[in-house]
Amino acid sequence: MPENGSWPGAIHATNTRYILVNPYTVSLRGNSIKIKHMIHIKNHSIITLIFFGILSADVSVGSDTRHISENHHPEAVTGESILPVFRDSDSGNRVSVNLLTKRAKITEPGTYWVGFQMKIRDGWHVYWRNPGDSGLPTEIEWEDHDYITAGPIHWPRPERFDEEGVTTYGYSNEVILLVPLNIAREESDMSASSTLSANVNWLVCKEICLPESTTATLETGADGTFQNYSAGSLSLFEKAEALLPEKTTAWRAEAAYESDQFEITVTPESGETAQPDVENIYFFSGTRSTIDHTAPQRARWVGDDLVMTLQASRYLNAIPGEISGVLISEESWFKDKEVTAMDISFSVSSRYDSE
Amino acid sequence: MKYTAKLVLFPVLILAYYGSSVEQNNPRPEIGKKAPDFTLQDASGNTHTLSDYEDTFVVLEWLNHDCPFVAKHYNSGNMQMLQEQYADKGVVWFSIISSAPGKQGYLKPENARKITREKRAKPHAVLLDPGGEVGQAYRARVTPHMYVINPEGMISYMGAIDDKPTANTDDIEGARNFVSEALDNLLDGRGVEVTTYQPYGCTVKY
Repeated sequence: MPENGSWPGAIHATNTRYILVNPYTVSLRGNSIKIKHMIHIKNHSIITLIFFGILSADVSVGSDTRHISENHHPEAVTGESILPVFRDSDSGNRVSVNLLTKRAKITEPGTYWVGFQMKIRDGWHVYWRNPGDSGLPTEIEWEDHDYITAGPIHWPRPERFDEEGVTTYGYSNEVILLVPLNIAREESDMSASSTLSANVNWLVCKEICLPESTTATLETGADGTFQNYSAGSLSLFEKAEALLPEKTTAWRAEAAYESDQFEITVTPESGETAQPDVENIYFFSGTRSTIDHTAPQRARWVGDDLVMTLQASRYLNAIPGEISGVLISEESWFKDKEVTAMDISFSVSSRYDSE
Repeated sequence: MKYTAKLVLFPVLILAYYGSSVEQNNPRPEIGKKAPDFTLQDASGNTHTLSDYEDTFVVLEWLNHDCPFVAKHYNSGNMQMLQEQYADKGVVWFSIISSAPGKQGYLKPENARKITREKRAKPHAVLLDPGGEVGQAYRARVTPHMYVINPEGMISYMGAIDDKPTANTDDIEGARNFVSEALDNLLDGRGVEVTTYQPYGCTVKY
């Protein structure tokens, strides 16, 4: 793979190299701090705002020092040899990012899905929207564009990692983060090709944590075709969509808070639901400082209802009005379809026993 | 009836929560309770005992210079500024390294002295806790994990340094710094508004 990322048939792949001329200058104004980063970007044109700024030496001093011994960068993009529209080629990273589009071409104004496929080196992990006791969620910052607006990340069901009394939520091996793009492309836009860039920042951990980033670009031709689109990416989207938690009205939840515990009651609203084994039910809270991530969760079926008792976080400062998150099980929540993760949100009432 | 059931359940959860034997032998640190006493050597070989510092405010900062979240506060100069600012007000600031030998962030005394010089850090002392006993006693989970102890030796604040759980130096400006807020209030004879906040950072490498 050539150094600048121009691999065969590639679109412009921006592989930024950060060289720090002067890592930081700090001036103090009263108690506030102004930090100026002076960053020289070596071999490419797109100036990237680095979300993580100036960090530990092995990360920030430039990619040359990042080429540590255990280089493991998958040459094949996927097992199915699918060509992404963008492939990150910074082999110093522990995570490589491919940008995929679901459809081949912009045909009319509307929603077009893209996927950031993160391939994570063995043993390392990146984080969910609630990272848990430590870590940081992956962030995608889109460059402004005339007629394309990006929506929020749609997160696949997370995994749980437990180490030394610390519980975190995230992904290992591989994850595809799905993002809807609203493309308002009119006839008048049709004559020109277009480029959209996104800065992707993530924290990757395996005992130690490193912030990494890349700039992914999406190019469209004058006829609206996504450059380097591969028909095979559709199967990756199907796989990724299957891992998104189900949005359903077939289950309804509410919660009561008492004595540092939340009691959540999840009630079936239709006849199509099933009762998965309580041993493998777990609630991933979507926000930090709400549920104790480490404490055991207790679930039981009471008639048709699932009742869960969850320890409140010791950092809960006020009882939240509403909690949302993902409820997972090993068996399906439904009789006739395979759904093992679903989004739930519930209002919380404070309970005072009057017995 | 539900109420009784919970009373039984609660201690079970607590016991399950405390995994290691070190944790079972020590009560978990609590706001308004006595801070666990300790004696540790600093990077220059001097011995410090917490209870010798009664009558002053003490800050404990869990430190690992290889952690991006710690680097956020040192590369920006934020941590050094806090250390210096409160030293001027008589606050004793200990940076504690609980990384085990061979783990990330562990430093031999001479290396701890060197990096403290290089970072222009201004703690009262950098304490070395390679066995992790003090970190475990405080349930220090991440770096930076912060504790403020009042002159009576009671814990007044514990948790995050601020309310922006990121590794980005740009997020320091505008963040609500709970350590300086607690110290300012206490030094003015007022109470602490936020006494705990979920800490963020890299896990402590015990």
